[in-house]
Amino acid sequence: MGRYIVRRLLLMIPTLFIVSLLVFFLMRIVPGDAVDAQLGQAAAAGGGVTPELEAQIRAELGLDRPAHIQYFVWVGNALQGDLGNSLQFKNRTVWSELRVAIPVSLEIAIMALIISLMIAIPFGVLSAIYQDSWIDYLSRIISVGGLSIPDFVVATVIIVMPAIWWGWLPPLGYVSFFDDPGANLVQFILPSAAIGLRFSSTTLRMVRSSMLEVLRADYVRTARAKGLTSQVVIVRHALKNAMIAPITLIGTSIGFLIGGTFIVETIFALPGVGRLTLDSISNRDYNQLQGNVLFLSTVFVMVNLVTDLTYAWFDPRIRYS
Amino acid sequence: MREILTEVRDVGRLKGAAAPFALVWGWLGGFWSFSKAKPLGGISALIILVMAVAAIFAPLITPNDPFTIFFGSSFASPGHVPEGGRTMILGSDAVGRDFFARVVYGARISMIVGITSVFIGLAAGVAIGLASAFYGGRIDLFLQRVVDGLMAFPALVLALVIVTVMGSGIVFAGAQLNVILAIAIILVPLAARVVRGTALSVKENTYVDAAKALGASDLEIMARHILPNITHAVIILGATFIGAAIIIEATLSFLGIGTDITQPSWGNMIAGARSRFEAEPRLLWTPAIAMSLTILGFNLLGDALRDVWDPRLRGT
Repeated sequence: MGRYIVRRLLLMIPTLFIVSLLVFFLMRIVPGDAVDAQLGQAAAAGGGVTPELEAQIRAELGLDRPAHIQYFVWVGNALQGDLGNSLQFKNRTVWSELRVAIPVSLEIAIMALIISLMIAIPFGVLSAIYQDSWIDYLSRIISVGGLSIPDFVVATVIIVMPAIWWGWLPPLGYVSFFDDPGANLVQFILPSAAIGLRFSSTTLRMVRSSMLEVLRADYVRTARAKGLTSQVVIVRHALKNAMIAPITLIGTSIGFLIGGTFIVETIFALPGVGRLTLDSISNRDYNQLQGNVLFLSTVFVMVNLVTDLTYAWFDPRIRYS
Repeated sequence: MREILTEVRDVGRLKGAAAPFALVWGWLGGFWSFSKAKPLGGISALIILVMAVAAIFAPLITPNDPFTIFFGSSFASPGHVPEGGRTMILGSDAVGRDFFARVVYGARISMIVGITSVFIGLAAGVAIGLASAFYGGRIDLFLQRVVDGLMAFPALVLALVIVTVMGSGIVFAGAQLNVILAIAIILVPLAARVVRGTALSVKENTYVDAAKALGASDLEIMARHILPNITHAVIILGATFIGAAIIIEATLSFLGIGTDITQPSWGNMIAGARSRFEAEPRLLWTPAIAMSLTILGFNLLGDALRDVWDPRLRGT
């Protein structure tokens, strides 16, 4: 296991290197760079736009140096936790903006995950046990249907229906969990449910097919032959092994969860990383955008690594292949 | 599907005016036997056909132009006849454009974006995957790191960045090149990975060695001996990818950075319908249902094709 972990950690380095290269050079292609944005602000403030001013801003931002030097300076700082300054807000850093947004997105993602598992595991297991029964067909219809409805549609419907039926809208304006847990949960339940509902269809499919496979395994037949009750066989023997595949799915689908937070944060006006990223696009704050994208992809790579390690822990065959 | 192919081959031998009719007849027969074996696959093919007809013949189907603004007709109810126009089957939207026409034209944008982006993404993915599997060694190692790097971005985030970086420059029938390329780039690593895996196993076959012994060039082996054996995997991928591509286009449009706001994209329509949902629910439901049905069609088609072509996965 130790060797496997080391190998995986080493493989992560080239991946993160390519990610940082892509992020950095993609941002350099953007039509109109950070200097234009600042010059625009200066012009709006009533100042004259002179070539001297432009050169001054360029030097301040370090944009007068060659691209590869800029890249190494940026990566060097990023490794020390410094992602640069926000271009939109003079006295804030990229990280200070991100730090307040992360808990919001994290809470949505975790709650969405819990909701999706609460739907997917029971339905997936029942669907596999009673294969080709009405509950199996129902679960399969829900799962194929769920895959076909984009999450922004689910989120839109989930916010407008309570408004029509009961005249109830989730409270706007973000409340932190630590200030008022009740109000916070009320506010987060709908956005999380929107992602969770959609996400459960993928998970349900996976739980079902992996449960079906396990139920046909020899050791399950042995357990039944020993005279164990159906319940014990399913809970103690089958379910445990059937959960391995869905665990990896959660890892690979973290990208889907991140995409989901972008959408619900927009619809429900929650100040998370997704909102921050979309705002940075509309405000042309490329420092912020660059920092956010680097942060999100690093999280993505890390979560995938952790999932792979968990998978290898459960299934020793992976480690030795 | 095999039936379709044999029928098509038979038709090839027919001569003269009968050939096109026989071809269509053959396709219908193939479709019928496919639907009998896979009812869900038949339904999906029908849905896709309806949407394709809507997309291609949009100008003939819709009574009014989707861009014409009828003044004084904003939020008109279904059946309204505007001054200088024809009956609005689904009424009009906020600025007085025929909503039915916009929903039908929405199929056009979704289909163009879906099909072109998947085509580009698959073509690049197949090229990378094939080269990676065939040459192995350093080329494989390098290409796989690039694939890893692209896959390290959450899909929507990568799409956002590419759309922003490229800017909306070139527009074709309402579909924007930056959106198409952004979606294609997301699909490339996914396709490359699947193609590489499949091609690796095909490469081990003795006929590949035989071709090599006969002096076939690398390109010839890849194109004539490996590629035909992975087409099934690629087509299955393509069907599911189109569903995903339609979702991404609509999501980008919904977030306000995809298809131009004046264009009738389903994502744009749903975003616009939110504020007036209580009074005008049809503005939300019609595009939402049209879009979900289209995506469902491609997802079901992918599943049915997988069942037919890959018996190992049957029933899972």
